[in-house]
Amino acid sequence: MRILNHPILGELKDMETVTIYCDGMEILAIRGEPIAAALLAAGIRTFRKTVKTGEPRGVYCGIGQCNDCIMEVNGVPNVRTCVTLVEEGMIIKTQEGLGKSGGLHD
Amino acid sequence: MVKNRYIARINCLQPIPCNPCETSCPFGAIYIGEDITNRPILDLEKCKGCGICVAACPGIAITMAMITGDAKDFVSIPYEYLPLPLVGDTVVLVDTNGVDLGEGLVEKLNRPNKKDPTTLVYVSVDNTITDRAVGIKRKVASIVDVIEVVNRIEIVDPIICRCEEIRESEIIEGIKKGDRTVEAIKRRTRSGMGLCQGKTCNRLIAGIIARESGISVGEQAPSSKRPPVGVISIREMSEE
Repeated sequence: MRILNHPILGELKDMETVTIYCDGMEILAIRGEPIAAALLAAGIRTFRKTVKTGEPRGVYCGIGQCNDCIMEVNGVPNVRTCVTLVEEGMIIKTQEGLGKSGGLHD
Repeated sequence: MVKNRYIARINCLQPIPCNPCETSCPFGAIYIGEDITNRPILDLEKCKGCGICVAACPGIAITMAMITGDAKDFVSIPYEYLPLPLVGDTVVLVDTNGVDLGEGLVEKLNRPNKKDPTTLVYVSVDNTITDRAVGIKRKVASIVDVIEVVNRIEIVDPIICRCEEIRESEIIEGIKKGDRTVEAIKRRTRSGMGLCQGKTCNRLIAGIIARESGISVGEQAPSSKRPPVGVISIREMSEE
């Protein structure tokens, strides 16, 4: 689900890939794309479960405003995946509720 | 009425801060003025129908039309999808709501600004739809009819505050108990206290209060805003 030929932006060429891991699954992402784009391209649409009802959530606004697409990234919860770019070896986890802090900022 | 030449049609409905139409026009035919949220005003005499503003408008809110006085008029519509229609193709034209108006025949394709990839599709249409035709329906088998799908969705008690999972019924309940401000609803339900800090729900809640109580959004007491713009941890704050 990537737009490889865009009527305004042109063709996507010279793609450099990086490897990220989502809930243990290896995903090939394109350098320079947000985490959310890589996950959607890999068919992953549920990024987190809500606090109260446990309902699934994913991309909503896609511009860093609504915080619906937050996940745990390298141990840090509440990371907005739509505005955070992929990095080699990133460990991403589906966030359950408020998420668990266990990384850099713990 | 200007006849037998193309004239821009500005279909810009909202007063938003945007002015590439004004700055791109080589003939000074579009006026917005000091206040960038003004809607554009077109000088029909100065407009040469070149189409540069049509390609420049980021909201694809400008088209062109040529009134002939005959049964067939012509419209020129920006098209930013692939594949592009071809000369001689029949296309379906739509109005600002995406509703089908009928078919037209593609006469010409043009890119008015060589640095701008937006293509204009020139179509001959029945003169009955000239005024309303502002878009060309995509001819792709897999594209669902969005209007049809939206009409089929039955919305039951929509979520208003996405972060705190507050539904419309909970807001209405608060209004019934006497809440008349976004702040009061916030204190009752926690709406707007989640990660996005009310960026998504505050205006919706103000609208619901207006609808249910009759107090317009402008008359409601403003809510306090205490941003951080993004999420930071308590530890980061304490280290500062």
